[in-house]
Amino acid sequence: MDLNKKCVSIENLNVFYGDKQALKDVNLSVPQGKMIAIIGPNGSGKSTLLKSIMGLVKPKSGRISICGEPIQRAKAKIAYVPQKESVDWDFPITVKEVVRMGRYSNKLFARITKEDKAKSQEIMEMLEIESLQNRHISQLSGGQQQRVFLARALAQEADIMFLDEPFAGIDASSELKIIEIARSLRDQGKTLIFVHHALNTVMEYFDHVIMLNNCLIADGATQNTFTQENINACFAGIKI
Amino acid sequence: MSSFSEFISLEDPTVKLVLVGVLMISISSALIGNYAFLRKRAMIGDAVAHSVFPGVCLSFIVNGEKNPLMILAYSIITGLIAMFLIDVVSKHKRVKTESAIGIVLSLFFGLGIVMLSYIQGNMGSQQSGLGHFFFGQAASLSEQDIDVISIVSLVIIVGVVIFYRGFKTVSFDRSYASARGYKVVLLESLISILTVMAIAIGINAVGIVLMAALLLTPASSARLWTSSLSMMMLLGVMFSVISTVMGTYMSYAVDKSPTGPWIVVFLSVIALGSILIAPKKGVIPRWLSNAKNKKHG
Repeated sequence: MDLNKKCVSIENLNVFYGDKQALKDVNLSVPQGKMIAIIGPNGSGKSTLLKSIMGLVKPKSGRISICGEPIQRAKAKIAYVPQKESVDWDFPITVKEVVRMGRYSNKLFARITKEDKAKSQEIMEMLEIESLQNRHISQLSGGQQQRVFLARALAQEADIMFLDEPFAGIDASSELKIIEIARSLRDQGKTLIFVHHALNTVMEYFDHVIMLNNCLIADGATQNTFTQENINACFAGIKI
Repeated sequence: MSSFSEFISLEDPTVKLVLVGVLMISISSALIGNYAFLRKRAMIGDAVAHSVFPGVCLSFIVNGEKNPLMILAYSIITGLIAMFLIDVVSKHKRVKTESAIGIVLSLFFGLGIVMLSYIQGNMGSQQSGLGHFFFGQAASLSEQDIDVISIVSLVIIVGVVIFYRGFKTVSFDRSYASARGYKVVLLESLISILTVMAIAIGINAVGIVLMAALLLTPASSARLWTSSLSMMMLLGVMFSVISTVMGTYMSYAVDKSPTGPWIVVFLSVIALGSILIAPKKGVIPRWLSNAKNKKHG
């Protein structure tokens, strides 16, 4: 495995919501096999960047490729843990069903196999949610809810995982569990890209950081990039 | 009043015909209605029901007769146009979806009424019967009607079964489905088309005004009893079948009373019962558990 390999590259990305420009001339490449944080103030385009890479937002211009392929051909390589607010918590679905959803193929007629069920069970055990598997998703704590959606993403066994603010509103033990699992995935060569909010944990959790404020402020190894100077530039005029 | 056993023996061929037709309609609407309910597009069902009416009239104007297949084709087309317009209008920043639904519903229903007056004023005696589409007239369903209804219902039922996982994933978490590479637009269009098809056959039996009840009431009632989608679908169909059998019997037993409204009455009784007694979510169980908590607290 070549650790210097780039798994996502972005060239001249411009994204607009109506008249408002969310991302301006972003150029960057994301290294493979690392834990990566996208940070920046509210409305700085963090989630937009994530969604553009996954092909959920249509950019006005620019090129994005995943492992050298356009996103439409690389969808089997990616897994996604959405922001909590975007989930419909009233939908009639149990923990087990959400996790198994990760095993569904996107072929219209595909069925779920015995191995799929066994894999889902194994992942639920790893995340310590197997005792909750028949509960409705609204009957869980914030941390448990986040673990369920992480489990669904893990069930896909994808190479690149996108997590949109997975630590928002969860308990400390769930946060530790998620980090522990993320690290072991990284050690297996997977790439994990987080939208992250808490600046105090950036240094501890992440190998690589992307600092955004509608345009790219800095990106690189956390040690060299997450400097006071860059933080000031990224959060200019905002009290941290 | 005729007895229930006499009714359910299906010895009367008219009763058999009507019951088969209405059951097919109610089962297919109850199934596809789950997705309108879960995707929070409940009122779109009502708007589309009103929007198929100009299709019915247009089919009569063009063909000069009441041909069930033509009526179906035209009503599906106007229903889909209405659904498309609601989407277009509600994408406009300053118009909310509920306003878009209101605008499109009245526009299409208005058009339908204009066409109906034209037909009544200018065309032959065959137009009698178009008014039935307001409240439905199950008793007047012909064998040809039943054929069309049965085929369309089977298409809907098979579609809901085959695309279960796709429909479920798209309705639950659209952006996840899209990130996974599901054909989201195709699946959503299929849900819309199957919904319009269910409405187009349903107005025969229960009419434009009550059609939304056949789509939405079973799902709304069933949701109170279960947290699993497959169970919700089964329960919804069960509620629908019970209401349809009871409603058809009442209209058979009580002279000159219409089938559709009776079905809706029974569906609503089940909904009301569910709101009151469904475990955990019902008013009475919640009240009891609150009282118990207070006592222990």
